[in-house]
Amino acid sequence: MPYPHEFLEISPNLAENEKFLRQSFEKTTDIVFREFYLGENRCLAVWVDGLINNRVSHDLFRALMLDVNPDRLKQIPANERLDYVNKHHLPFYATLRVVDMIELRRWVLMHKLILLMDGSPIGLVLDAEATPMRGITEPTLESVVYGPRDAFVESLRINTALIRARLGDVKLKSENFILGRRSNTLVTLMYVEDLARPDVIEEVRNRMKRIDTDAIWDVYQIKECIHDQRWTLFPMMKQTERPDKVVADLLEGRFAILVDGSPQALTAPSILVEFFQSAEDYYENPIITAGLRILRYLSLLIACTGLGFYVAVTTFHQEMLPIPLIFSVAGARETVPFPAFFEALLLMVVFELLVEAGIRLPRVVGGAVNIVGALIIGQASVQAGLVSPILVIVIAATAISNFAVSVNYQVANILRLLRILFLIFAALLGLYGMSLVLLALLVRLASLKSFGVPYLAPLAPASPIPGETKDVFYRLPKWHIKSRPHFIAGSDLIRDNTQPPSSDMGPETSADADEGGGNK
Amino acid sequence: MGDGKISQRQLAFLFFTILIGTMFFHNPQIVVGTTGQDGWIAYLIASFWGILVALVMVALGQRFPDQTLTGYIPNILGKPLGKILSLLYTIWFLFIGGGVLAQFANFMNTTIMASTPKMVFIITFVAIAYYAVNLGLETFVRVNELLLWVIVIAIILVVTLPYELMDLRRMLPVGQMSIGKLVATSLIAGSWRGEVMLVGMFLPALVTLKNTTRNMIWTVFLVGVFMIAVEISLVTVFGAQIVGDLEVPVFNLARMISTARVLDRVEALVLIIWVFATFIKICAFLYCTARATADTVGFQDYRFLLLPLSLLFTAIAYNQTVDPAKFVDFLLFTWPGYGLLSFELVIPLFLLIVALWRGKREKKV
Repeated sequence: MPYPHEFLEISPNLAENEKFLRQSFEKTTDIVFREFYLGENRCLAVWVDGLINNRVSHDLFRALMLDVNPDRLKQIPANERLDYVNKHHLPFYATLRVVDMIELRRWVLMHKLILLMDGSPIGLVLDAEATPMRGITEPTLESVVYGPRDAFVESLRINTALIRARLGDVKLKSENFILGRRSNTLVTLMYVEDLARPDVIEEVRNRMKRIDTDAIWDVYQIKECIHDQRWTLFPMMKQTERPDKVVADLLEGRFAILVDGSPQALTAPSILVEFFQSAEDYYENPIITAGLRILRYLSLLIACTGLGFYVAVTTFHQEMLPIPLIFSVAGARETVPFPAFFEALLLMVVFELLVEAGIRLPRVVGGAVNIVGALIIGQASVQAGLVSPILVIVIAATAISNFAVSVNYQVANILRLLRILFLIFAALLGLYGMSLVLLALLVRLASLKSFGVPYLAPLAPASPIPGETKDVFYRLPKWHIKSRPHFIAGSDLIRDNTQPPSSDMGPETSADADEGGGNK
Repeated sequence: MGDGKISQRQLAFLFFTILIGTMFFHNPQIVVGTTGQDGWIAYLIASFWGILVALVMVALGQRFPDQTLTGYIPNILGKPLGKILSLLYTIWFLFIGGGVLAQFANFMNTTIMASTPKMVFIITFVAIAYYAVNLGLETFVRVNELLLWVIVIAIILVVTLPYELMDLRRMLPVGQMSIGKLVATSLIAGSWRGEVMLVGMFLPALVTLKNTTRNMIWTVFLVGVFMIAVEISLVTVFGAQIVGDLEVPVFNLARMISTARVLDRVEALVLIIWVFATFIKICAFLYCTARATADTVGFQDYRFLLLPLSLLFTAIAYNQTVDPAKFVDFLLFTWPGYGLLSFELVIPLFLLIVALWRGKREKKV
């Protein structure tokens, strides 16, 4: 139990128990009280309507009311009858025996079916959960070309099953927490016992226990309560909707947190570079991956600094451009009535508005936004002489880069903010101003820590163990990455002993050789 | 104090940046201006001075592994004399750090942004340095680990890209200068290299002192290699005569670059080197000043000193930018005596000899 609460023993008298429950669930229409008899023993089942699997409850009542032999039951002492039923007649894979009335009442609210019997001072909790749920679908935020296509759903049990299905390790542990005084939400902490650092796990437990709130229904709410910084722009824990990512993280010694009702998992300790790694990087040729990752970092650079660079160069450093280019830039800006900074700000704000509108609008009118964006903003503003066509290209390039780099959607939003910062300082102090922003940003990033792991690891501090950067700017083949990241994982650091693949099959016995022999 | 430990690699990286940072500003002009195309010999001798300084500082540091330079000076010389010398070192850090900042502000003002007041550069820079150092030694050391690669790549690009303009015959004839003049010039170049003396303030923050000597020698030597490359590139492109007359020769070198019609006038690269390297250097000097002040006065923590010291930095730096010509004069005539021949080499050497003679080392607890 997460919170201290009063303890109320379940009385052997069913009427008393029923009175308590009925009082508790007064004016509650979605609670079902089902009274029935087992032989001569009055029984009571209580559950929340709609959260219990109908077929299972049907089976239950048939088993109890038809299969139980009343004579046999009579021979059992009254206070042990429910235990007897539990052991012999309940076709359930999971039951729980409870002696506390308060706890029993809470189980009703946590999607379970409870069973009480007159004369027995215990209650049974039966797992017949069937919360309303959509099916497993493809990931929407982190879609890939190759690799698994399942994404987490809102049900915690399904989510843990998706992880367990991929990681059948006896050391994969999961611990439950019940968070939220009012919501009674089940939260699961998963980790691989001999990979995760024990001090980190202990720290998470403590931080989870510190959460004292009325309700939790998404992993993000947990993240805000337990990550390392009070105020931070950068994600200190990774949210993902992909089970394969969670499994990979668990195997690197991280822990995962799942919340009932949230279709995402939270993993930590996190480092900055992992927010720029797609799951797909691991299902694609390493050489291609290296190229894609370089492209991604390049687009990171453009997304952050492209717009600022345009303003800095056109306002402060015209001499940096080659002569032909400076002519075309100056020619394009000739009719523009605003300074470059204002021009850039104007178009950028309009573009951000379009993005936001595109997200919020119902899909049926989404097409209209596209037309407004492409035609009116793009074409007409240039023709009206409000902005220069070169700026439209720059804005488009930054926008495209922004989407290209956003393997993680939260990062995409941060980049949008950073872009404005770079833009403002570029307008104030040119390239020097932009380097100042970059320096301040790096200083901030270098000072961050996620559960004791430096945020810029393994780049800064560079790992003393060679080969830790095999999965940063490029990714080497699986057989090549022999060890787990030592700055995250606690022990069992060797992860791979696979021999490098080779085509060495001994002396050549090809069809050609045989043919040659046949000709002689 | 909450300050983490730094690794050998981080220390070597940090000193690479510290040493190479300001060497680019006026150093080539002064060295090539006095010794002509034989400047590289002066740089070679300067590496020797730098290595000597590193050896002395590490030898001292190994006798007092848990104390900074200003912390163990009173142990060697006795309290009254030692405290005075510690205070002098504190002022020296403050003054040289301010000088680095002044060079930077001058450079920005004269080359890239002529209409922006120097004070703007100084204030913004000190503000971010204060932010970084306030977050601890680890933080700016880590930032440096990332920036170093950018700096190194930018230097290599600036040095190699004007290959079309290079004429190796401009290096000839070799060995025109007298040994005396070369050594004298090497003292100027060596004063920059002697800034490796700051290592005395960082040694107690190391995880392990093992291999420090070797790493520092390599760092100083590598910086020498880079400087020789810069010097050769400058002389082969411009000829020794012109380099001596240019105010910031490397900047002019970057202006000459025009490769493949795209990489045209890449002054931005030089700007990047300077902003990044100077930033790290200012952080290091601010840290050293704060530590030295705390040691001298006897405070346990140094962070609360950072704010007043930052303001002092700003004032001293601004004061030194007022007359750039005078500043170059300082670099040429005063700096060797103020740097290598006193605070960087001679005084530490004296300290080491006294420590050896009096058999002083840290008391084992």
